[in-house]
Amino acid sequence: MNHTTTIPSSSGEVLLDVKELVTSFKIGDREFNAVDSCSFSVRRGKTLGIVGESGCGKSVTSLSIMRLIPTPPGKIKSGEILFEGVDLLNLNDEDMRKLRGNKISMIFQEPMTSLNPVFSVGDQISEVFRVHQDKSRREARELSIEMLKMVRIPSPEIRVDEYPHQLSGGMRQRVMIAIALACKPKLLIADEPTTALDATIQAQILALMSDLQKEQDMSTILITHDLGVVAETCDDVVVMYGGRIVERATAEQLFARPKHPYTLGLLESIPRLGERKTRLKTIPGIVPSLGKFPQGCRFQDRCSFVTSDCRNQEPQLRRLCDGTEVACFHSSDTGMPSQGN
Amino acid sequence: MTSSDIILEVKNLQKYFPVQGGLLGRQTGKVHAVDTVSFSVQRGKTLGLVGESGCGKSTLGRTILRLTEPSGGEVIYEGRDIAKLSANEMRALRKELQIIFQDPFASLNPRMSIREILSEPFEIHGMHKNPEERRAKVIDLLKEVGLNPEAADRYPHEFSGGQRQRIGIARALALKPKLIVADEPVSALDVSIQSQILNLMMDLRDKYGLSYIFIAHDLAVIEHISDEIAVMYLGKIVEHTGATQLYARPLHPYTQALISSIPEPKIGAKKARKVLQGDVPSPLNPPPGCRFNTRCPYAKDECRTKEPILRNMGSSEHPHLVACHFAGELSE
Repeated sequence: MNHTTTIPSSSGEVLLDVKELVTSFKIGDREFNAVDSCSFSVRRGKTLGIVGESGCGKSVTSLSIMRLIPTPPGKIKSGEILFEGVDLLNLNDEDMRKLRGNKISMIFQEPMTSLNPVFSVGDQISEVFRVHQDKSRREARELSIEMLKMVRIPSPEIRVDEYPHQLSGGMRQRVMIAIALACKPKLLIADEPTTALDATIQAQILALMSDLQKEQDMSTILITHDLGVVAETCDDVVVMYGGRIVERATAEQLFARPKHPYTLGLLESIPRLGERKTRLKTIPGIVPSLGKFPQGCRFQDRCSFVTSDCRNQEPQLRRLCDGTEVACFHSSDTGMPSQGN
Repeated sequence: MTSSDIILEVKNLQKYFPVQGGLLGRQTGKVHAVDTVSFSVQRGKTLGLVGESGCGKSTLGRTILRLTEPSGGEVIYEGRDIAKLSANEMRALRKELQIIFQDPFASLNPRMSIREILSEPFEIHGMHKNPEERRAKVIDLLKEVGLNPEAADRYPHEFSGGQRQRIGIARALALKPKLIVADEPVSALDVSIQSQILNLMMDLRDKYGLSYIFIAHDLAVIEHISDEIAVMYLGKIVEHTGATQLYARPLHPYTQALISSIPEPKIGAKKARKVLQGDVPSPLNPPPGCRFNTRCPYAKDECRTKEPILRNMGSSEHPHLVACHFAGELSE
């Protein structure tokens, strides 16, 4: 994996280019932007991590790309989502449906709830082949067994006729991956794919995903709150807070020199093995709820570097010398100033 | 170690759940959720219990507090066997033994105000009957866990996950307990909030000399808060030693795999990982011999037939208990 290149702007290397995306939700008679003019791109064959805590807008971002935002109350208000040069927001529902599960696939956090309990595993994988590739029942079944083999499920000929409740959590997530990859998608969106799994099973699934990505030359958007998973699997990272992107960098840059105080806080608040300290560093306070952000920088009330500038004006993403982008008045090329707690 | 240092001693504790089936609903089997577990908790210290889902760690925590009745064994708290106490004696003792639950959304009654939630322990035990005094106690509790006194008149839905967990902690503290079982208290929380709660729990432990049994699946969290750690697999303790020692020199292959499976937030940290094959077997039907043998990369014939017992591989002052026939001979 090459972490040293900066994020390119040439279109040939970019599979998905999201520009100034705004997705809003209507609560009562007020409208709130859950994703507020976010721009990022996914390189071909690479993995982009979207990191943040609950409520930061990372799942809404991924659902926007799939155009699965429930409308109403949600709505993609503006922006462009260019997939291989085509703006997904201009496609009609029929064309979008052809794309979903075919060129762009998604796996969700809960392998327990995202499989249908009344259909066998084989039926659920077959459906993809029957809908997108017009395969016969028999062909689809054969292909489903192939897929189960690919995600390393033992005795696939037997498993294909089993139902989700007969499988363990890790197995179900493998089935989800099999469904998502059935049509060899160009882009896989994985929303917290391992969060509900035990550590040893998470390690299996992450290894499987990275193998399959290489085999199929696929791009991945990995949504997670776990910076350990990011360090291990991602090439590029965007960090979100309060619906905004606060930092955008390659994974190597992010972990070597976090530029935004929020990124720094996240990294420091994780307990690490073998580094037992008496107290953990914390980010004080909580993520404000939708529509309750302060004027100016959204992170100001939890930030130890805050100044009057931060309260008056919202910092925009700006590019530093090393190519990373950060939305903070105080960050510099060398990271953060050394004050603070 | 003198016996007065020990607040709780668990001896050969067992919890089996019957499995019913067939036409007449007869018992067809038993789930060995906790299978002959022994350990002790020192006063003012934290014992971490770690393991994957289904390993029996939560059942163990509940059985210790007699929230489910043990099937066998002893739980000796301050010299008395809890398992043998009458309902009345047990109720009196519950003041000293408290629990914090994992899900801060499910463990607070949505129809009770925070004041009612925090007053309930006093109500049950007939303490602080004067309304003024009770009011003051509730405010003290809220301050203790870093919440605003105004929170008393609000309802659980008005709080975030981290704040609710603080309320759960305040409730556990109300009766001035000596031992708290914390069952995955931070796993439902965001990372920035998780560290706040861990710090709070450590502060309270030091301030009141509390003892914790801290249950979690995250080895990094456990390592941070615990003095000693016991690793569970399929209802058994497979390794038990000091927190620093466990991480520095894990002896059981399962512990080694658990430690190596944690992704580190550092580029290039990807170790030569021991990815375990397969899933945890069903506790209904645990494999014969060593229960880990179906997933163990080092399993030999002996492991499939003979069950290893916990043996001390450390010193008598710093015990390092491990249940593996080949511990110490394996590559680490």
